[in-house]
Amino acid sequence: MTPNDEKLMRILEEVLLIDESQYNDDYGPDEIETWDSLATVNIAAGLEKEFGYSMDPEVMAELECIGDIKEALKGGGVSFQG
Amino acid sequence: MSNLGKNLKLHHIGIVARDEEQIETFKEMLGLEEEARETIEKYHVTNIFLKCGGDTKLHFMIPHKGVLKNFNQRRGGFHHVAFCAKDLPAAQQELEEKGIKFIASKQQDGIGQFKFNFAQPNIAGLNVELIHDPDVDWSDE
Repeated sequence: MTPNDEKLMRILEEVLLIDESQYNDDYGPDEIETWDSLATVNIAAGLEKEFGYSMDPEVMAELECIGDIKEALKGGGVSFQG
Repeated sequence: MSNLGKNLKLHHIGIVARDEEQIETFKEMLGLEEEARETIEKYHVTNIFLKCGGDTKLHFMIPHKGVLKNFNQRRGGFHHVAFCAKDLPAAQQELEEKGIKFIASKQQDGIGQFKFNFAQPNIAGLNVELIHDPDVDWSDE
Protein backbone atom coordinates (compact mmCIF):
# COMPACT_ATOMS: atom_id res chain seq x y z
CA MET A 1 0.00 0.00 0.00
CA THR A 2 1.41 3.40 -0.99
CA PRO A 3 1.66 6.31 1.47
CA ASN A 4 -1.16 8.09 -0.39
CA ASP A 5 -3.31 4.95 -0.15
CA GLU A 6 -2.71 4.96 3.59
CA LYS A 7 -3.67 8.65 3.83
CA LEU A 8 -6.85 8.06 1.84
CA MET A 9 -7.70 4.98 3.87
CA ARG A 10 -7.35 6.94 7.10
CA ILE A 11 -9.79 9.59 5.80
CA LEU A 12 -12.32 6.93 4.78
CA GLU A 13 -11.91 5.01 8.02
CA GLU A 14 -12.64 8.16 9.98
CA VAL A 15 -15.58 9.40 7.88
CA LEU A 16 -17.19 6.11 6.87
CA LEU A 17 -16.24 4.11 9.97
CA ILE A 18 -14.86 1.31 7.80
CA ASP A 19 -11.88 -0.94 8.42
CA GLU A 20 -9.04 -1.91 6.10
CA SER A 21 -10.96 -4.89 4.70
CA GLN A 22 -13.51 -2.51 3.19
CA TYR A 23 -10.88 -0.30 1.58
CA ASN A 24 -11.62 -1.68 -1.87
CA ASP A 25 -11.71 0.29 -5.11
CA ASP A 26 -15.03 -1.32 -6.08
CA TYR A 27 -16.77 -0.50 -2.80
CA GLY A 28 -19.27 2.36 -2.78
CA PRO A 29 -22.48 3.39 -1.01
CA ASP A 30 -24.13 0.06 -1.80
CA GLU A 31 -21.49 -1.80 0.20
CA ILE A 32 -20.84 0.91 2.82
CA GLU A 33 -24.09 1.98 4.49
CA THR A 34 -22.48 4.98 6.20
CA TRP A 35 -21.62 6.55 2.84
CA ASP A 36 -24.36 9.15 2.36
CA SER A 37 -24.23 12.63 0.82
CA LEU A 38 -22.97 14.22 4.05
CA ALA A 39 -20.18 11.64 4.21
CA THR A 40 -19.22 12.58 0.64
CA VAL A 41 -18.87 16.19 1.72
CA ASN A 42 -16.77 15.15 4.71
CA ILE A 43 -14.57 12.97 2.49
CA ALA A 44 -14.04 15.95 0.17
CA ALA A 45 -13.06 18.09 3.15
CA GLY A 46 -10.57 15.42 4.21
CA LEU A 47 -9.08 15.26 0.72
CA GLU A 48 -8.58 19.01 0.71
CA LYS A 49 -6.89 18.93 4.11
CA GLU A 50 -4.65 15.90 3.48
CA PHE A 51 -3.90 16.20 -0.23
CA GLY A 52 -4.59 19.88 -0.93
CA TYR A 53 -7.07 18.69 -3.55
CA SER A 54 -10.31 20.63 -3.93
CA MET A 55 -12.98 18.37 -5.35
CA ASP A 56 -15.34 19.89 -7.87
CA PRO A 57 -19.01 19.61 -6.75
CA GLU A 58 -19.89 17.89 -10.04
CA VAL A 59 -17.27 15.21 -9.40
CA MET A 60 -18.49 14.89 -5.81
CA ALA A 61 -22.05 14.28 -7.01
CA GLU A 62 -20.96 11.47 -9.31
CA LEU A 63 -18.68 9.47 -7.00
CA GLU A 64 -19.79 5.85 -7.00
CA CYS A 65 -16.91 3.99 -5.37
CA ILE A 66 -13.54 4.35 -3.67
CA GLY A 67 -11.87 3.86 -7.05
CA ASP A 68 -13.63 7.02 -8.30
CA ILE A 69 -12.07 8.98 -5.43
CA LYS A 70 -8.64 7.71 -6.43
CA GLU A 71 -9.26 8.60 -10.08
CA ALA A 72 -10.29 12.12 -9.06
CA LEU A 73 -7.15 12.46 -6.94
CA LYS A 74 -5.00 11.16 -9.80
CA GLY A 75 -6.60 13.82 -12.01
CA GLY A 76 -5.44 16.33 -9.40
CA GLY A 77 -1.85 15.04 -9.58
CA VAL A 78 -1.90 12.64 -6.61
CA SER A 79 -0.05 9.40 -7.36
CA PHE A 80 -1.05 5.94 -6.12
CA GLN A 81 1.89 4.18 -7.73
CA GLY A 82 4.22 2.25 -5.45
CA MET B 1 -30.61 43.00 1.66
CA SER B 2 -31.04 40.64 -1.27
CA ASN B 3 -34.26 40.58 -3.29
CA LEU B 4 -33.69 36.98 -4.27
CA GLY B 5 -36.58 35.73 -2.16
CA LYS B 6 -39.08 37.78 -4.16
CA ASN B 7 -38.01 35.87 -7.25
CA LEU B 8 -38.46 32.45 -5.64
CA LYS B 9 -41.63 30.45 -5.08
CA LEU B 10 -41.89 27.34 -2.95
CA HIS B 11 -42.16 24.63 -5.57
CA HIS B 12 -41.95 21.29 -3.79
CA ILE B 13 -40.78 19.36 -0.77
CA GLY B 14 -38.39 16.50 -1.53
CA ILE B 15 -38.73 13.22 0.35
CA VAL B 16 -36.60 10.10 0.03
CA ALA B 17 -38.92 7.09 -0.03
CA ARG B 18 -38.00 3.64 1.19
CA ASP B 19 -39.81 2.01 -1.73
CA GLU B 20 -42.73 2.46 -4.08
CA GLU B 21 -45.17 0.81 -1.68
CA GLN B 22 -44.62 3.63 0.81
CA ILE B 23 -45.54 6.21 -1.83
CA GLU B 24 -48.59 4.26 -2.99
CA THR B 25 -49.89 4.02 0.58
CA PHE B 26 -49.29 7.72 1.18
CA LYS B 27 -50.99 8.60 -2.10
CA GLU B 28 -54.01 6.41 -1.46
CA MET B 29 -54.53 7.47 2.14
CA LEU B 30 -54.38 11.17 1.35
CA GLY B 31 -56.06 11.01 -2.05
CA LEU B 32 -53.12 12.60 -3.83
CA GLU B 33 -52.66 12.51 -7.56
CA GLU B 34 -49.51 11.44 -9.36
CA GLU B 35 -48.50 14.23 -11.68
CA ALA B 36 -45.26 12.97 -13.16
CA ARG B 37 -42.74 10.15 -12.92
CA GLU B 38 -39.30 9.75 -14.42
CA THR B 39 -36.06 7.93 -13.71
CA ILE B 40 -32.79 9.84 -13.94
CA GLU B 41 -30.13 7.20 -14.58
CA LYS B 42 -27.23 9.55 -13.87
CA TYR B 43 -28.38 9.92 -10.26
CA HIS B 44 -29.86 6.40 -9.94
CA VAL B 45 -33.21 7.73 -8.79
CA THR B 46 -36.87 7.51 -9.79
CA ASN B 47 -38.72 10.76 -9.19
CA ILE B 48 -42.44 10.82 -8.55
CA PHE B 49 -44.33 14.08 -8.17
CA LEU B 50 -47.65 14.13 -6.32
CA LYS B 51 -50.01 17.05 -6.21
CA CYS B 52 -52.70 18.20 -3.83
CA GLY B 53 -54.53 21.52 -3.63
CA GLY B 54 -52.40 24.63 -4.04
CA ASP B 55 -49.29 24.95 -6.11
CA THR B 56 -46.73 23.16 -3.92
CA LYS B 57 -45.98 19.58 -4.86
CA LEU B 58 -44.46 16.58 -3.12
CA HIS B 59 -41.41 15.07 -4.76
CA PHE B 60 -40.72 11.49 -3.77
CA MET B 61 -37.37 10.00 -4.71
CA ILE B 62 -36.78 6.27 -4.85
CA PRO B 63 -33.02 5.73 -4.93
CA HIS B 64 -31.84 2.57 -6.68
CA LYS B 65 -28.22 2.87 -5.57
CA GLY B 66 -25.68 5.47 -4.53
CA VAL B 67 -25.47 7.85 -1.60
CA LEU B 68 -29.18 8.73 -1.67
CA LYS B 69 -30.05 5.13 -0.82
CA ASN B 70 -28.12 5.57 2.43
CA PHE B 71 -29.91 8.81 3.31
CA ASN B 72 -30.94 8.95 6.96
CA GLN B 73 -29.46 5.52 7.63
CA ARG B 74 -31.58 4.03 4.82
CA ARG B 75 -34.79 5.13 6.51
CA GLY B 76 -35.61 7.92 4.04
CA GLY B 77 -37.52 11.05 5.03
CA PHE B 78 -37.41 14.79 4.42
CA HIS B 79 -34.58 15.57 2.05
CA HIS B 80 -34.83 19.01 0.44
CA VAL B 81 -36.84 22.12 -0.18
CA ALA B 82 -37.15 23.28 -3.78
CA PHE B 83 -37.75 26.82 -4.94
CA CYS B 84 -38.88 27.75 -8.41
CA ALA B 85 -36.71 30.63 -9.56
CA LYS B 86 -37.99 33.29 -11.88
CA ASP B 87 -34.53 33.21 -13.46
CA LEU B 88 -32.63 30.09 -12.40
CA PRO B 89 -29.16 31.03 -13.75
CA ALA B 90 -29.44 34.48 -12.14
CA ALA B 91 -30.51 32.97 -8.81
CA GLN B 92 -27.64 30.47 -8.95
CA GLN B 93 -25.19 33.26 -9.74
CA GLU B 94 -26.42 35.36 -6.84
CA LEU B 95 -25.97 32.46 -4.44
CA GLU B 96 -22.55 31.60 -5.88
CA GLU B 97 -21.50 35.18 -5.20
CA LYS B 98 -22.41 34.45 -1.56
CA GLY B 99 -20.12 31.41 -1.61
CA ILE B 100 -22.70 28.69 -2.23
CA LYS B 101 -21.58 25.93 -4.61
CA PHE B 102 -23.84 23.80 -6.82
CA ILE B 103 -23.62 20.18 -7.94
CA ALA B 104 -23.40 21.35 -11.56
CA SER B 105 -22.06 24.52 -13.11
CA LYS B 106 -25.23 24.85 -15.20
CA GLN B 107 -28.84 23.84 -14.67
CA GLN B 108 -29.61 20.17 -15.35
CA ASP B 109 -32.51 18.60 -17.24
CA GLY B 110 -35.06 17.24 -14.82
CA ILE B 111 -38.42 15.59 -15.12
CA GLY B 112 -40.61 16.93 -17.97
CA GLN B 113 -39.77 20.54 -18.71
CA PHE B 114 -38.06 21.13 -15.36
CA LYS B 115 -34.52 22.36 -15.08
CA PHE B 116 -32.80 22.03 -11.73
CA ASN B 117 -29.64 22.44 -9.71
CA PHE B 118 -28.79 21.61 -6.10
CA ALA B 119 -26.75 23.64 -3.65
CA GLN B 120 -23.72 21.56 -2.67
CA PRO B 121 -23.60 20.57 0.09
CA ASN B 122 -26.50 22.69 1.41
CA ILE B 123 -27.53 26.14 2.63
CA ALA B 124 -27.36 26.60 6.38
CA GLY B 125 -27.60 22.83 6.82
CA LEU B 126 -30.66 22.34 4.62
CA ASN B 127 -30.63 20.81 1.15
CA VAL B 128 -31.89 23.38 -1.34
CA GLU B 129 -32.88 22.83 -4.96
CA LEU B 130 -33.49 25.57 -7.49
CA ILE B 131 -36.00 24.79 -10.22
CA HIS B 132 -37.09 26.27 -13.50
CA ASP B 133 -40.69 25.26 -14.18
CA PRO B 134 -42.27 26.82 -17.27
CA ASP B 135 -45.76 26.14 -15.86
CA VAL B 136 -45.30 28.44 -12.88
CA ASP B 137 -47.23 31.66 -13.28
CA TRP B 138 -45.28 34.81 -12.41
CA SER B 139 -47.98 37.24 -13.54
CA ASP B 140 -48.99 38.04 -9.95
CA GLU B 141 -45.60 39.65 -9.32
